[in-house]
Amino acid sequence: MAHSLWETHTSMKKTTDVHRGTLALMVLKTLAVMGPLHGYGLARRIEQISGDRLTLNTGTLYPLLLKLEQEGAITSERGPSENNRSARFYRLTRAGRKQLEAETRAWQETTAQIARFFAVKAEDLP
Amino acid sequence: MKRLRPWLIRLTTSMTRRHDETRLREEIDDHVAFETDANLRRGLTPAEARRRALLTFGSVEAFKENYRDQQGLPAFEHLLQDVRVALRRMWQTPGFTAAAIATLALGLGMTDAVMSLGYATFLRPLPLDGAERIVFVEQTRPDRPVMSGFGYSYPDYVYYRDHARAFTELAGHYSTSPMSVVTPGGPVSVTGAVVTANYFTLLRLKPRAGRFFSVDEDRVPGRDPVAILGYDFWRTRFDGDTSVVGTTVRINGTAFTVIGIAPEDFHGVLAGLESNDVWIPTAMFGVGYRYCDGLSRGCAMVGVVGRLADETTIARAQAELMGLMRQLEMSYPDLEGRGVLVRPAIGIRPLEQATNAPIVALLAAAAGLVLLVASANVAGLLLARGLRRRKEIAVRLAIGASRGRLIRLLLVESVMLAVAGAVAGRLIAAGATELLRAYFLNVDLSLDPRIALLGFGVALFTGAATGIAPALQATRPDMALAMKEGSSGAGRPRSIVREGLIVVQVALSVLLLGAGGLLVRSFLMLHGGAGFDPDRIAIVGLRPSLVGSTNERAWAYQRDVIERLEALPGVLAASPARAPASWPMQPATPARLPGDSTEPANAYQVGTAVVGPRYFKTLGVGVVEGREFDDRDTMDRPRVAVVNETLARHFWPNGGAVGSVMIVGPRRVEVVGVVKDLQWLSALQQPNPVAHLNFWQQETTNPFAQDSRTHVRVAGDAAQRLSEIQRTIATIDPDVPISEPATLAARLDSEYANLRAARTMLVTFGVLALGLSMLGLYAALAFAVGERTREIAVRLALGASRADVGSLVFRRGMAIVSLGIAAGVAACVLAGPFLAHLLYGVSPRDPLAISAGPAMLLVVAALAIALPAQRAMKQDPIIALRAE
Repeated sequence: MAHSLWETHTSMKKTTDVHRGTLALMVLKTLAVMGPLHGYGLARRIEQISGDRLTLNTGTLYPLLLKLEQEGAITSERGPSENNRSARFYRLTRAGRKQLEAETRAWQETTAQIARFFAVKAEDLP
Repeated sequence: MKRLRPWLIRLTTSMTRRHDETRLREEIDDHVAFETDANLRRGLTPAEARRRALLTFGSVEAFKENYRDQQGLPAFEHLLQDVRVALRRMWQTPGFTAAAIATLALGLGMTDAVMSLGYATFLRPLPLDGAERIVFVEQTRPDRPVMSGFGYSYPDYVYYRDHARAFTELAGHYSTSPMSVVTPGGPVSVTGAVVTANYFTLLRLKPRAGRFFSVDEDRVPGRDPVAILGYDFWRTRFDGDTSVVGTTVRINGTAFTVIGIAPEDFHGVLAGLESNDVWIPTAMFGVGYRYCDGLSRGCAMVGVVGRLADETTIARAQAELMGLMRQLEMSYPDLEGRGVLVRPAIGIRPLEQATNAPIVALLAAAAGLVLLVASANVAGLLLARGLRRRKEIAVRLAIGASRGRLIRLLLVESVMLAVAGAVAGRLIAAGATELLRAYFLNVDLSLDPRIALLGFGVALFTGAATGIAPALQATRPDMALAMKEGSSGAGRPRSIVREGLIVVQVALSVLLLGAGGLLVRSFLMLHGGAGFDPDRIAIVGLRPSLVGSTNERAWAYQRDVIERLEALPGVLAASPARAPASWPMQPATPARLPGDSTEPANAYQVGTAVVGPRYFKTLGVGVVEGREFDDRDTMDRPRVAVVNETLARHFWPNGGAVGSVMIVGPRRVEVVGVVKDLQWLSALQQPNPVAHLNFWQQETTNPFAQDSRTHVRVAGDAAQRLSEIQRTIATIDPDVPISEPATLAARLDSEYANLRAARTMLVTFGVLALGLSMLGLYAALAFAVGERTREIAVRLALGASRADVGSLVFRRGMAIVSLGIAAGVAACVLAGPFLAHLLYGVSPRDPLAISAGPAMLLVVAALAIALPAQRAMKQDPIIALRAE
């Protein structure tokens, strides 16, 4: 019954599972770049940015948005969408921007580290 | 804080759940709408567009479930669910629920009451502001037990007060001062206290009226006769009239000005059996204690109570006082070997703690047993119900409930039963406490929050312990078979737990009944064994010493009293004694035979009692050998003694006590008689050796020698003659206060109240526990037999005779019960030594007491098996077999 929160629900081979903890970062970054978005638009944008290599589990996205909002990283309010539907629009807060900066730095460090490890060859080491 | 945050969020989420779910629902709808729009744009039909949108989204319910588990506190929520299910089930089976709750309430209630008693006896601080820093400073002596509480001399106290830094305040008190106070209703004997001026400041008390002592009033010996009255004393003897403040009251013959009234719930620092009704300053010590100068170094009457300074520990305070004592010892070598003991002012008086300890222990053991029996009973009920529910449980297991979750559900049920039992138990505890309060006078038995919490913990534990075996049994994986098998369940292995539980239940009941029986027999012995009737004996205290009589005058008075009393019609005998016959005689005086050179420290210790002629005739206690004192034994005759059987057996195992000489303390006495043991006085010990010395041969240096408790034996009910006796005595000298007029029976009742309380509680709870055990046993056995209805039907259908089947069922049942009885009797015998010191006149292996319980249980067991078996056999086999 209990399946992982980060599992994708499609079985398409090409798509990748979203790593644990990275979806929040993607959401924050997308909101920072694109400005206020509603949930559906956010999902499409993230998939688009990933070059359609990621398929989001909507079952994880909305709880995450709720959680981020409860933590104060984003706020939301209802407004009219581009096709005149009423939708909930999410917007980054100052706290969210700070969190994004901090997490971006942390990620860059981590990836740089990992990259160094991948680049290393036996002869490079004394 | 960081780690806490997610939890806080989860917790708030748990509470704002409804809001969040609406929000998610809304987002799901929006998302699906957007997706549908997108699909429409791709040219799908509206229905197909929506279907695909929903498909892409996935299971909405799984999504929500997933979300819930992540966001909330699943364990907490599952618990709430279990509680709801359990509540529903409890509501559905009111009979079972009531029985289980009542049973647990009895066990938990009694445990609660005993915990309260134990707390009050040993741990409760004085009911004062900042009481946790109030300490008693006791003096220890190498040759005496610590708890005897020896006083300091006043100058020593002053030295400690002026030099000790560990205390913000150090007060002195002599709290057992006999005072005769002339009230509007006549002279009354009370216990007063002589205290230093800082006594009330230290205790942070506020006067009910007037004021407390000023430092100046406690400075010059004899100058300021001022007194403070206790609240109760003021209410009963001065009608609660505040105008008594400022008036003059005579205390022990001296006129005192009343300056204040103590607050309502304050009875002195030694509140216990000796509550204080009057306080006077130490400068007036001469009035409160006349036998030596209470302010001099030679007279050590001062008890010390202190308030620890902040940041100081008891150990540091004690070390400091020890150092000061060693400094004093340089000037006063008599302090050599003495020590200081600082102890927190908690519980009742140490001496009474010691006497009450075995009673509290006994009650605790009884409460523990009752709780065990109750738990076993409820476990039996739960087990039976678990078996009845096996179909339901099998279905739950089959549709995927995990065993752990089911066990938890069942445990939640039993814990909730226990919690409900604890709540109902509080009522029982309140009743039991009320009963105890009537006997443990002045012991504050009100419920402390900590005890309430502890009681709740005990209830939780009991619930879990009671439920665990039935829960494990009910959820055994092979229970799945139950679905197929129906409720026939004749399988042996399944009944092992149940039968084992019956064995335990029976064994515990036998142990409880056995111990209860022994104690009840022991109490019966106490009252029937000594062959005397305390209702016929009156005792009055006569204290000429309090009005400053000379020895000659006092003794003439005492002789007159006896003569006049014995001349009254219906009075059979009267005799003066130092102490009332109801007081226990502690073996505290060394005794030896002439020529025996044993070190005094290792000498045989005996109790001493000072009694007059015809004392044993007055009490109705038999003289075994020789004679008792008579009027020939006067001051100018050889000193004589009457010893009890225990003492005579020790020194003269082969007889010949009468005519022999022994040395009791400093006195050389000739034994003129041997009397029966008077150990009915104290049930808690084996008889003490007692030497009775003659009232008319007392050393005159003894300050108490003038006073007596005169014992009077009358033909009828002594209670009806008390006022006549008092009137007669008053005609001899109206100034001498007559104190504590009461029958011996009344004195025994109040002095051994704790024993009576213990007995009443034991008997009450014993009877209840007996009822419980019998009910529980009946239910368990009847259920076990009822379970075999189908098996019995099959046997009958296959041609077995009723007699055969009956004896088969009966034998099995009785075998189980007998096993339990055997275990219980063995436990009784093993527990015997622990009970021995509480028994009097009964061997811990007393067959009657031990066998009464098993006999009753056997009868119940026989009925519990026979009746359902009878019913099962009467049933038409076809019906029984078709019932499934």
